[in-house]
Amino acid sequence: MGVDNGVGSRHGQIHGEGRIHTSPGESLRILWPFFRSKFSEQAWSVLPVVIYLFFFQILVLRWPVASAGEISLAMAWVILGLLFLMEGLRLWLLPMGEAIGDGLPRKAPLGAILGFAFLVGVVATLAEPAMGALRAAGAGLDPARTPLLHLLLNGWDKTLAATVGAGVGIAVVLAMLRFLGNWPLKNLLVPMVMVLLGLTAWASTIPALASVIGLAWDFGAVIVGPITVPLALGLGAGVCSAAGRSDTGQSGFGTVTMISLFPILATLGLAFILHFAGAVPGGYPAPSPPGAQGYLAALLRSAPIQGIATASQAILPLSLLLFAAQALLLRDRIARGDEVALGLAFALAGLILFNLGLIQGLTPLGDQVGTIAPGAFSTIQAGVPSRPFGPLYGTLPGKGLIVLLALFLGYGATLAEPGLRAMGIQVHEITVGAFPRPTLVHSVAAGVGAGMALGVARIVFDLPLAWMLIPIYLLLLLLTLISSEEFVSIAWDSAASTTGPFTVPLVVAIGLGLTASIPGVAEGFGILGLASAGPILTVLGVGLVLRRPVVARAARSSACT
Amino acid sequence: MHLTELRLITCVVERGMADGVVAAAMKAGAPAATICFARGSGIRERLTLLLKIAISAEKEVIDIVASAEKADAIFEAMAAAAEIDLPGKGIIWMTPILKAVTHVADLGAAEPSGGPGD
Repeated sequence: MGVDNGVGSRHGQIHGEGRIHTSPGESLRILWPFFRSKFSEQAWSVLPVVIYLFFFQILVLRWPVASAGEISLAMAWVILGLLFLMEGLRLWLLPMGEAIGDGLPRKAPLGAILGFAFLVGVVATLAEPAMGALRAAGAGLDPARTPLLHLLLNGWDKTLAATVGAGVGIAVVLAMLRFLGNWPLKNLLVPMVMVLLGLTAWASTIPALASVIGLAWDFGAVIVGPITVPLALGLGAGVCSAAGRSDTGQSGFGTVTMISLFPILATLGLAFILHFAGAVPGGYPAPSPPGAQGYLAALLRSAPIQGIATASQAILPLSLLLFAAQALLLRDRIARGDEVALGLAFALAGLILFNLGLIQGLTPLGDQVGTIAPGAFSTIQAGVPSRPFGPLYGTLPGKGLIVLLALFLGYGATLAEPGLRAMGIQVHEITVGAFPRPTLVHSVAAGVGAGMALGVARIVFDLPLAWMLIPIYLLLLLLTLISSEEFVSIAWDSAASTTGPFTVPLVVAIGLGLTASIPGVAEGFGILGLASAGPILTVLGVGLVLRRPVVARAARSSACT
Repeated sequence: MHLTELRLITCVVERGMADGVVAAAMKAGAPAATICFARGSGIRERLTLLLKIAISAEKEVIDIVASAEKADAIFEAMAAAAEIDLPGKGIIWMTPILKAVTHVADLGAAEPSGGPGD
């Protein structure tokens, strides 16, 4: 091909000042491969999990997939939504977070920085789309069996969200202080987890509080999604480089872990206060009033409007806060303002599409698989009109099948998580390839699969959650103490970023579906909480094997994040 | 024993594109390649907004040393694989090398001119 000619005829452009003009054909040759690679990246992560669930339900559970066409269409929205959301966050959230994190320490006093960090924590929490999925799940709970849990997720849901948001805010502030003071993560992590385990053990002895344990530990996984993670890392990276402290290596890591632990404390704390203040025995909360009737109300409740409303509530307050910080604290123009504005529009459009797909596809799919699955080992009422179904297999093989379903689901869904992929690239670069991205991604995915299997096993075998959480986290503490600082941060952080907007709704829906069909099981939370513990175990394990070369190379690169 | 009659081909492409370009170079007879990470500026900023976001500012720089007779074929193969004629996709250039030393087999067909014709 005539490369020489092409370059020759463009000499004017190479030395020019103005815009480079491209023909439509050239534009297409640039844009199409870009779009195609982003699209196939998302499609390859979403479709296998969905097809897997379809096949599991049809072949193993021998039950037709209800509204399969609608769910398939919704998956197109999920894929496009994730594509635009991720591109939008890359162009908008990441640069703004980094610029603010970089500029604040030089232009604002420490108090203003910490106050801003706290606000970011609160607003980003309320922005996380998965929060809504968890709260909405509480609507189906039986108030007579789990009064405190029902109260938390219904009458007190705004207080709960605010408490969790404040918890995240405090975590972000502590993470910043940690950058500035160069505290090792272990010194914060170990006491924190011990406090959480103590509270969990205490709660497990009180029946009303025991039902909240699953929700509390799930919050830790739910909070750290595609908005909180890049924002906290971007802010952290900026503060870290501005402070000129890089001697501990990866001090930027660990932030995500702290953000995931504080909501657990906040939720448990609120539950304890409500319990001992006697909020529950005083009477069950009144059933929530039915919404306004009529055409307008129906329109407002329709999926597209809900999708737009949820997305706007998630993105707009956060963008306002960031723009305000840029204008008032930094008093500076936004670098690459046009790209940031386009990124914001992309993020909004992406979240709208994703929410639409979530309501019409992910939640119905997870719910029906979860509801039908107990038919593998017992007789359930299923279908419209409902008829008895099952047992398809014996008690133990049937339950084993469901646990296996969770194992492979957790593995596959984790490979799909964009948060983990972003982290994989960072870890790859920090360890200079010694901890390659595929190794990290697959060890995390295997850990999530095992954790999810355990979480589902505890529902189908009806075991107390605390029995699993406490020994596993004690083992984690032991591994944490003998592992090197950088691996502790990588392991705990990657665990926290495993469950994003794709996994959370699916798993929550499956858990609640299972609960609906298994008599005697009061609540189906806790799968996500256990799913976060698995990858810490696997990554710390792999880390101990890889430790020597990585420490040597990481010390040489001495990167800030 | 110094090697002469060599060319250095340097190619700047977007982050993540180097592997494909190096594969094309190898197919055209390149003996080896060195890839560095870099960051570029200039062309990307002058593109329209939609094209700008499709071009990564993070770059990879490929260095390939090859014998003079193979260099042109390698150069053309790399330029085609990188779609280097599109704006923002990068640049490729070739320079002569005065002298070089390495394990001889590494440069494939390159004849060591300093030795007694081995």
